[in-house]
Amino acid sequence: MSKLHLMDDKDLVRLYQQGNQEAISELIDRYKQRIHSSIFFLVRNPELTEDLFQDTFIKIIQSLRKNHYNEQGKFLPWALRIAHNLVIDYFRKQKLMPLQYDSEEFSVFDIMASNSKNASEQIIHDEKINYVRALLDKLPFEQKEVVILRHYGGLSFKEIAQLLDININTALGRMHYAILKMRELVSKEGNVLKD
Amino acid sequence: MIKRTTYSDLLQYAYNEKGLCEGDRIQRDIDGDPLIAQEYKELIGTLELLNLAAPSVSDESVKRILSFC
Repeated sequence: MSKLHLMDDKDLVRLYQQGNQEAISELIDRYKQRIHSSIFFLVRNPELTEDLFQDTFIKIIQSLRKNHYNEQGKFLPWALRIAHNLVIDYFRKQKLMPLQYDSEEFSVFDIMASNSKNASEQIIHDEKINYVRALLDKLPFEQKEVVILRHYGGLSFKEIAQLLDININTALGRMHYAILKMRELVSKEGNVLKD
Repeated sequence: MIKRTTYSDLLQYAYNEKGLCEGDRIQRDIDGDPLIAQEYKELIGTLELLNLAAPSVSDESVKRILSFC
């Protein structure tokens, strides 16, 4: 049985650079959800998320092959920086502000496991998901960015501060204001969250 | 001087960013102060709400990445 899942990121990177293909599969498996969610909540467009998610890992693979990875074992912050830069580049090229909403035809049925819910439960569940996503969209971008990187990306506040080139107290302050804002919105309009 | 738990402390504690000693101190403050306990409860409630919204990665995307390797 493979012991790759027990290895740390640094060793997996080294193994991949020595030609072990399974090592990169393990790294993808380990971090795909965090990286994917971080991209999704910044761009809020499912197709674009898939493109940028693939581009992120392709860039990661290219960098590893060229031995450009030198993050002393901190794979996730490095990978999220690549994802973040690709998102920002995309918005710069499009001259867009990063607030793309889901298209109407996008359905959470496409992405959520629904096997344990009946139709009406599923509809209520989908409403809740859409409501929470809309809550995030109502935050100022700087606050939303910190929430995404901390909650979905799994970076520490210190790592977020380094990535965004801000003070850790600024990162914590943005998260605090985001939580207050979300709580305020839920108390005003959060009926959809009640069972 | 006794340090009082701030909202930033609660945030870092909620995400397991505090060490054992500081974590113990924060938990004692939560247990001993109803205002801090309420603040923490609401914080955790909001973070749990965020858990609802995460999308899943498509298998197709992962396959495409692996085909590039």
